[in-house]
Amino acid sequence: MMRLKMWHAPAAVLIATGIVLSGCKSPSNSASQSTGNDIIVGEYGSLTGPQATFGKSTDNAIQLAVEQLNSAGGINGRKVKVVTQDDMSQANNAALAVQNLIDQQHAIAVLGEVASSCSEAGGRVCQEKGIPMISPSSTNPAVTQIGDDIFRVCFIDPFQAAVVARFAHDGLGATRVAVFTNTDQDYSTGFTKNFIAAFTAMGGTIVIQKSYGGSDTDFRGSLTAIAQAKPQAILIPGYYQDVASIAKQARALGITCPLLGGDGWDSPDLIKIGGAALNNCYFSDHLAIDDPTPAVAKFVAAYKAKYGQTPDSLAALGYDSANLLFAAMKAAKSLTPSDIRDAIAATKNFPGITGNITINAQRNADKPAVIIKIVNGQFTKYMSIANPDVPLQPKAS
Amino acid sequence: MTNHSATPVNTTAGIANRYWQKRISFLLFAIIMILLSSVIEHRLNDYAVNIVRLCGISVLMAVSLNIVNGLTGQFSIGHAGFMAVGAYVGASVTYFAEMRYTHQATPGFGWMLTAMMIGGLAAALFGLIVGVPSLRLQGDYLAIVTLGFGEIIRVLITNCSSISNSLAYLGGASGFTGASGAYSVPHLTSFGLLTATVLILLVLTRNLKASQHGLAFMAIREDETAAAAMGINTTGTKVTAFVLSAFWAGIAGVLFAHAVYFVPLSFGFIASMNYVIMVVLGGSGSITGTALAAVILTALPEMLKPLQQQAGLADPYRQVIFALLLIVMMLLRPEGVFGRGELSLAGIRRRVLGAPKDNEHGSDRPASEGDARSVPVRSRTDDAPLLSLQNVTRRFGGLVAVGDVELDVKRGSLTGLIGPNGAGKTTVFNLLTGVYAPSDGTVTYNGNLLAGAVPASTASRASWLIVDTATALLAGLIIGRIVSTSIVPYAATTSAHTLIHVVEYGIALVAAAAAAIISFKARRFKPPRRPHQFASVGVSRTFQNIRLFGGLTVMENVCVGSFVRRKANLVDSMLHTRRYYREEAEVRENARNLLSRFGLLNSANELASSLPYGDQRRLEIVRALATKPGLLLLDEPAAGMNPQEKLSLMSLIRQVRDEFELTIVLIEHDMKLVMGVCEHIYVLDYGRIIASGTPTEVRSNPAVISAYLGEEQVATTAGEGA
Amino acid sequence: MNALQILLQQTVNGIQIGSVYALIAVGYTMVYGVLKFINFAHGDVYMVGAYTGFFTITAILASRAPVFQGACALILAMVACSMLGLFIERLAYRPLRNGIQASDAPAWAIFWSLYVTLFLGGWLVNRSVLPAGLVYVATFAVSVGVMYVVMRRLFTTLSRRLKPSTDRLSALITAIGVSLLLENQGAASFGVTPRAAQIHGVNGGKDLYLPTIVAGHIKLSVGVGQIIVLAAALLLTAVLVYTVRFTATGRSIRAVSLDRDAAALMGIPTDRVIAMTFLIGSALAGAAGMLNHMLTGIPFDSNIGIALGLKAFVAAVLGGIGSIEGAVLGALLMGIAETFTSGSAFSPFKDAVAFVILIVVLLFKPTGLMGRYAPEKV
Repeated sequence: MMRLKMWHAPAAVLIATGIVLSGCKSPSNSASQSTGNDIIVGEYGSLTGPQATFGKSTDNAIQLAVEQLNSAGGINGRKVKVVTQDDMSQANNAALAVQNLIDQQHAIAVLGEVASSCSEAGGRVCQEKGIPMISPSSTNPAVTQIGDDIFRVCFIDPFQAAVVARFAHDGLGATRVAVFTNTDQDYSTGFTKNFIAAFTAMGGTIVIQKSYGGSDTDFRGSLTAIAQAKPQAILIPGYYQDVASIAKQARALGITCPLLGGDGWDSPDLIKIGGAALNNCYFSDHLAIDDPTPAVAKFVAAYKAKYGQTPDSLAALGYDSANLLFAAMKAAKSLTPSDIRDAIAATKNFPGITGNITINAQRNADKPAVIIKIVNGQFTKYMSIANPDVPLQPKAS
Repeated sequence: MTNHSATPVNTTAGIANRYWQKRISFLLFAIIMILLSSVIEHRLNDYAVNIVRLCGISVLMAVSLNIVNGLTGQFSIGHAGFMAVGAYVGASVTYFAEMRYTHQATPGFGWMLTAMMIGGLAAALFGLIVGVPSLRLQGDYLAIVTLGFGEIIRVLITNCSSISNSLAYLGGASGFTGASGAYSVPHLTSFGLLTATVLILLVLTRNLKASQHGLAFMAIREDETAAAAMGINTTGTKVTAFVLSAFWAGIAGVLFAHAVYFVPLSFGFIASMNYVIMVVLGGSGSITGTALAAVILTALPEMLKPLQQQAGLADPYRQVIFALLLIVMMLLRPEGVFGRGELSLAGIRRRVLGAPKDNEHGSDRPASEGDARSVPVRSRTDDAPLLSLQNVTRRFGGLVAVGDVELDVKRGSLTGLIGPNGAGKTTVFNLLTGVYAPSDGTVTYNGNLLAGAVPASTASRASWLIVDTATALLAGLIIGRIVSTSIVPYAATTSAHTLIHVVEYGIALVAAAAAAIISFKARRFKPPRRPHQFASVGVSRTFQNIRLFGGLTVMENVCVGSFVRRKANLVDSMLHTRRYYREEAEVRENARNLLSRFGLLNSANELASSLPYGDQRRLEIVRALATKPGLLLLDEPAAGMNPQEKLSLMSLIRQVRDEFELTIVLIEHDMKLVMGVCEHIYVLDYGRIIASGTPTEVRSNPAVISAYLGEEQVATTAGEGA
Repeated sequence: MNALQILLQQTVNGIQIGSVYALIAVGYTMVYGVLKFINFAHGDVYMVGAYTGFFTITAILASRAPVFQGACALILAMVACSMLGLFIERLAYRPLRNGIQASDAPAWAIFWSLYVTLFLGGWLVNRSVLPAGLVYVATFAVSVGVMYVVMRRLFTTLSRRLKPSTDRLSALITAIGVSLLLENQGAASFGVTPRAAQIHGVNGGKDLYLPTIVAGHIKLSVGVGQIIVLAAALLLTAVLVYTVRFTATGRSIRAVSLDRDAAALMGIPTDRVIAMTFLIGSALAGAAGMLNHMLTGIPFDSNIGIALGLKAFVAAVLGGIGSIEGAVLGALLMGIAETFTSGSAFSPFKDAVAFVILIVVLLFKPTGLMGRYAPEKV
């Protein structure tokens, strides 16, 4: 009796594991049956959870790109099917999602993620399995340092932070800057670290540094402290919904200096929420949506027609990442992951809507950053900075 | 639930036989499982491997949480915090190993085991730090403190570089990055290691659940006051359960860290909640149930993915379906799938074949005669009273519940304590068992001071004064720093700096001074003895409103009573050593004897809550006797019985007293009964003793007649009860 | 003096945050008082209040006068949330407490019918010539009828088999289930993009801030929105305290919270009293959601209630759970502590501070600041 009983618990677990395994075996069969001749590309993103708004934007743009590609005949006559996996905005789920894409869905290339921590988790899996991955908008340098299978179509934090530091120092003539960081966000802490390094190297001073958390809605405690330090500008490397609230509350507390930020600011909702509080603030970005170039205009129109809203820069980057991948697939010798990887690595001057993209030796995209100024509730392109190490020419404005 | 007396274990040969048989068969089974799992690992794709790993880790988390939430009945909802401690400490160990000792090569198995041990111990240490102060709190307050702990750990790790630059390698929001910023924790969690860990935890927990210590945990879950009265150090036991659970969560954390990419948010509130859900859904208290629920709930989101995608639903609907399942499940089976029982093949067979329930305890075997003598005998028979109360007073606010009570109980006597409702009889019992501390006066038992104010030694007062002041000074410095830097966030001038320091040190000094004064006053006396210490010196009691461990069987209730005299320690209980088996056999034998003495042996396997009222009263006495007391306090033992039952109970009490050479004090309402059975009687009214003496003396005392007997005659004609 | 100004400004900031916590905390504390149960879904009721306010302002009453908009949005949010609170109680908590009974069938029939209408109705609309509204109403009506019959049957059978649960853990898990349901159904229905709207100020440039208050050298910035929230919190709590202390309803609420069984024996309809507390608590949370977001324009999504709800609950425990005045006091204290920490050198640890304070208070006063000590009778 006793002996028998001791086996039950582990046996039960084993049985349950068996059930689970049989469960996760099944989708691979159904997937391979239903897709037939299609080329499977995996996409993972935050479709639920706190970062869902970014994931959804990117996903929309990727779906748009695939639709356009397939209606134009696909790749060498074969249609592309994008299989999307939700990682619920959690890094550990991202790894699981990518494993599912590669092992169960047999994706030959992977697109994702927005959040750097998720991209790192997923990127490690891709590297292990030799499947090329393109991150549309993860700016943390560590992502592409994982290995030679990981690429991105955006610039990296040190570059962006240095651009903003250069702009603050030369463009605004500021020497005393305050920093307000979201410590729950990999992106925000990385940006802060790089900005401080670049800005102090130029001779500027960080007068005060405060931080907030991902779920905060009231920032006046920190802002009251920042106001007392009388900075000439405040760097807020956060996402737009926080930035909009921060701007409003800062203005109410009598802070009048310009606010600075990065690509996390880019969203049509920034102005909708923040209103006049954001006038005369600046942020760096991948492109200006109001850019009159035909490619941008065409993308904006197509996106609006399909989803009924203006795309943000994350959508633009998602669109570029997908199209860059498709172009590389077309150019690749064969549709094996290693050939696709080589083709991506060889990309030069790909005409993306966020600029001409060249993949450099570190597998990052070389392209200039745009400084956008908010004027009367409009994003206007203020200047373009390609090399933050060179002092800016004073601009008359 | 448990079946340790299923086979005769009272022969030494039997024990030795089964002892090795069990160990060897388990070892073989474990080796097969480990080999099997290692083979499986190489046949699965990474996705499946990852899911199985996560399932295994969830099993560790859920089963370890079950020790606190299920067995001990406490309410911890910050379990992921301990996992975080384990994960970060464990990852640090392999990180430093890789940097310093293995010359950048992936550390080997030995390092992984070291990491697991250190990670587990670190988490256990945190468990101790959190547990000691907070486990004094009950129910939801404990819950909120554990939740707070989980959040604090997460916030600290997220902001590690703000604490100290030497902690920056933890990586903050980026996950564990190492000093270079791009380090990735090696994936050392193999199936074999995971299987071995899971097996060890499952077996240890199952052993624990079946042991005396497990019973002590469950007794606390059922009724903390009664558990303390049975001599269980409730705070200590809860802390033990908590630390044990934290230790395993730490180990799970190390395995997690070496299996998947993790960030501080992986250990947030939502993660903690998931583990609570696993415990409740599987059945809190059920080890197999929790393990099963852990596996299913970890895999469920992944299994729902294809379902949701094929149905063309938006992604949030996956969680909607999960939420609905949870609600419906709780409505249909709130105690969880397995309740407190365990999944067993025997149980399934019974269900499927409809075979009759086998009598696992085999307790209908008549008790062997003569063993009852194993209860210790108090041989001192000098004239000094066993128990003596001097000037004992207890005030509640302005109300004097008991005032200036002087009471002596002779060794070996049967003393009655009577008085009208609200006279303070039960309060006296509570004073004698440490539930209350006397406001004034002293209680001596067997020549030793049991309760009452004892001036603390100067040395202890001085050291407490230093500790209290230093703690307050430290807290004051932190608060002072918060306040000062928040009102002067940017100090550019000297006067601003001065202001910061004035405010900071001012607050710290005020706090320290206040603490010193409070400590000086409050630590004048030694802290009073706690209820469980009364049981261990030999004072045991029953309760006026029956407080049995309702969810335990009759047999288990009595075994809990033996806990205070145990010799086996926690390790014996978890490993089921020889000492454990020997003692287990003794305890059960003793329990059977006592039960048969009180005519309860036939219901040994029934739940205590299912017994009829009179049997419950008797069971309480048996349980109290199992602690092998010198002084037994019976609070209205015959309440609710009919006159016939009362008489037989009273004669039984007398016999027990003589047989075990006990001293008994009993509270009783029924005057006739008290007069008949007691040798000496004290009469309480309005918290004061108004009369004492032999039954005859008391009966003729005019004060008693006016205060008590007059009413009593009315009450007796109105009916029994009270 | 500069330091004095910051001291005052931070106190004002803290009180303003605290007043939002207070409105939510009161609901926690009331439900806990009568049921001894942490209603984790309470924060999500706040979220629904915010969405109700949002849709009232941006869709239903888009072009009306601000005061009218605000008043209507407040009333609508309170009504919608109190209905939601009642519905949740009827759907999940009462069947759990009393065991499933045939009388629970209507709530469940309505609940399932909502989903049937959402999916089947949506499918039918695409395939019929009738107006969409009519199709939805018809689907709902038919579904409720069918479901009612089915559920009644099912529940009658179940009620014979199931016993009510007294386990507090299962109640907690149910609450988490409800909370997950609301959050994710919210994400599915309203989208994952954060929403924001502000009465009288969307893009209008007229921000709702008082001209800075100046007294001597001290200039304080006080938001009108926050003042209204604070006033509402104080007013609603005062009304509540009056109700609980001095009216018959309040007496029954107190009676039920002291001893539910005894109250039932005294003829107090306990289920109705419990429903009442859910109604009141949810209405206040709804008011908080609407006021905090629609007056200040702070963006929110369907997950907004998680963190706020947690903090409000901590505030309720800090103040002494079960005590309404305690909840308000705890909430204000927590708001102030949080603001001061976020302004200080310890700003990264702001979220930990609330819990540290809580733990310290509980160590010295285990029942919270204003909680009553109720010793267990031995």
